[in-house]
Amino acid sequence: MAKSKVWFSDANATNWTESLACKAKDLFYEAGLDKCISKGDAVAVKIHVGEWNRTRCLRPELVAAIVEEVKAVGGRPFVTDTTTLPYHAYNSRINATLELETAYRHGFTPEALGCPLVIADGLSGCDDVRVDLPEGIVLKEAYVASGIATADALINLAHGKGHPITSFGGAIKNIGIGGQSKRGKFVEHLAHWGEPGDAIGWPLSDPSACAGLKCDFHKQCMDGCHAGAITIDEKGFHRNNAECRLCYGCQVTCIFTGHTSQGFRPEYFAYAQIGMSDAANAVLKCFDEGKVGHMVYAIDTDPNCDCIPWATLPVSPDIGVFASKDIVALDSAVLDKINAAPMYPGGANNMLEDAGAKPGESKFTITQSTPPTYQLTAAQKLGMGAMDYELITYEPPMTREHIAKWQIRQEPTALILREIWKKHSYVKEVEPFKRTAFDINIYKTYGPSLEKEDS
Amino acid sequence: MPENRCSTVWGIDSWTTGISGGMLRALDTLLDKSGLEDLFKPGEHVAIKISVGELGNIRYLRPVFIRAIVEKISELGGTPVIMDTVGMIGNTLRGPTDWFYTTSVNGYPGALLGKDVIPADGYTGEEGELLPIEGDELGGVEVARGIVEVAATVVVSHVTGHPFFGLNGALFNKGVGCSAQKGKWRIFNPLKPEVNSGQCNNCAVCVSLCPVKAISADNGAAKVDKSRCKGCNHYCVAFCPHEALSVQDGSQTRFQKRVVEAATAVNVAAMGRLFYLNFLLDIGKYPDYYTVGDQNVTPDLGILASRDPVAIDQASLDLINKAPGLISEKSQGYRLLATDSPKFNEIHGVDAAYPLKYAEEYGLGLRTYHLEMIGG
Repeated sequence: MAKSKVWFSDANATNWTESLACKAKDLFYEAGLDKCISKGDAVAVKIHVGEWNRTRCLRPELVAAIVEEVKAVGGRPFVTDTTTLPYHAYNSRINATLELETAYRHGFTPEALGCPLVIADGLSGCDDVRVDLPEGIVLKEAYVASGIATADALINLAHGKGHPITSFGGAIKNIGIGGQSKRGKFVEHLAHWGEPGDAIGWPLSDPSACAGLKCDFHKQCMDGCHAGAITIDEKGFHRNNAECRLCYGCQVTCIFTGHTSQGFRPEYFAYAQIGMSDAANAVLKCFDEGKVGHMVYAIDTDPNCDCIPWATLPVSPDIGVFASKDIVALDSAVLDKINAAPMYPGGANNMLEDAGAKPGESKFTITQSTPPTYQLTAAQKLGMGAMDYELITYEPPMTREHIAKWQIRQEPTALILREIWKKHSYVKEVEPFKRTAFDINIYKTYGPSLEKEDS
Repeated sequence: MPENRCSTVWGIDSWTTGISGGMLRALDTLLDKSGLEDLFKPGEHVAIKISVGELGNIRYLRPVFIRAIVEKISELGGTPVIMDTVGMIGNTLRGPTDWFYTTSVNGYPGALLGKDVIPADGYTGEEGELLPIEGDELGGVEVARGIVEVAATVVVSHVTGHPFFGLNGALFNKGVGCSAQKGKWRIFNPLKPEVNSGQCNNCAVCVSLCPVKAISADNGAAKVDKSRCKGCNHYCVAFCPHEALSVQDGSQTRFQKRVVEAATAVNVAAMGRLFYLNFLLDIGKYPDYYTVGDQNVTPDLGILASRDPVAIDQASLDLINKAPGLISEKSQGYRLLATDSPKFNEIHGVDAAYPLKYAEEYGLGLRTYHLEMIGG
């Protein structure tokens, strides 16, 4: 398969043109994402709004930067995300009203974004479009959120970071899970699969490890189940398997409070990645050829996803921004760059240092115990793109025109003030601006001398 | 002034004659034909002076009209800035939090257009520039800094009655609405209330309405401490259930003159680059900065545009007086105001024509006008 092109610009900046927001705008055009949009198109800009108390989501400015270019090429953008399953007892995105409240807290307001913010699968996540997947590896159907499925074009704007289930979350994850309705997410959790003993469509459970009512978190465990399938008594927990739909609620409570009676079968993590690629393919199938572009900001590379209600130190320093029309090549490039990068000191709760990891090793394989590559090989098999890619490193030109290009106004704004000063001059009117004699050495009273010593 | 001189006022009515003939479309045509484009050059800042409306008022101008003006100015290459000035003590448009809350609740967050409403005189109302003017009452007035700084101003007035000025239109919006806090205090200063103790039944409504605690009703009839009274919103006078409070004889006239004189200072600040839009919709008894909006006094009459504030207010007053009247006072048994009657004079007992006469004498504009109605 021919190599796909991926454009990349790093997170370093020394002048106007190198702001990550400006580089992202440049890559939008370099990678030809502007060509995905025809005049008048309704353009879904899919982001992850992040869970309540999550402190490493994308900043609104980085999203607004892309919204502005969608508008500039004639699109009618809306920023969008979907409701989720109750991944934990206090999930802040189980319906659209809570999710909007969460998004606004993170600054994703229509005012900041410059366009509407739409929860794509409706108030409680039931608004979707069924997409049949005869070629699907694990899934034979997916349910794509209507708001995304019915848009004319899609800019898949992802945050590159780890994920506790799928190991890595990039562009594939952003639509493979993020583009699905609630029903779609249940399907993708493989909630309709196998027998309880398989621990694929149900949690892997060890009732003997449950302290029952003596566990401090037994109420959170029960209340975290939206299906009411868990009861806990002095003997331990009981799950009504007929009701369970594998939302991870009980697993998250148990695992993250340091307990071991609810968990996952190791193979589940591989199937979750493969199913995610199937579902991402369903989203791509909702759009005409050439109407989808992908971008990833690989910054704040937390080992866990924005769906987790906390954030820890990342696995690597900030990497930069990537853009491509090939979703598989894009995620491959992001992963390779994150793996090649040095460890973030003390990052991922010291997991990488404790494991003696070296740059070049797969960081998320260490932090999540599962290699992140199942999703890539599955997506390649589905024909969504190629893992083999050509990386084009972009450096913005340092010219006067290019400095002006992405500023708030293309004309220097100092001239606005000059116009106002023609009517009244603050500088000349205000008394403290009067010049007085000045002793250049007074500062030395407060600290060391800054005089250059004669050589 | 020669007899044959007159100013042009352009207008649209408020009828919609078909699917393509709505008021927003008519407003667009009005702005095209009335010479808005001559007001500014591309790239210049153009203030749109609106009246956001006090919390509780339900008849202020709908934001959609302001949006139409924002879009037109942008289309013509200008940079629109929506402005109002902060209210006086006791008003809800004062201080950053209240300003943000009131503008948002009344539908002027504006941020999707990138045009938030900016307090022209700062959140405290202290940002003004004292401009000297000639006249009987004021030696000068503090014009809100924002109005001074922009290249040109579109004064957007929602026409209503005013209990002490008569017609709340272009002149009032310009004179009071473009003044900073200090200026407003001096304009309103003559309006200190008197209590007719015979009519007062000690209900203390006025005591609760006074923002500076200048009224007491502890022993018998209400008393006004004139040294504390600032002559502010005069809610005490307007809303006394027993009509026991009134302003001193002659003070209304002094107040009317002050408003007109202050309006002249805005001419100085704007170097004459002003454009007026009078919206004759929801023509209520009280201005938008009153916390109430009572029944309308006439049907909707349309929108006027002019470069002459006196002519546009005279035309507005004539249209309102000529129009069929709606209900007057609940207390008057829902009496209908008569067609061809000076409606605000009847409602508020104020000479609404006087400020226009004074403004013409003062050289602010002409009362003689030619009304050019523009078809939809």
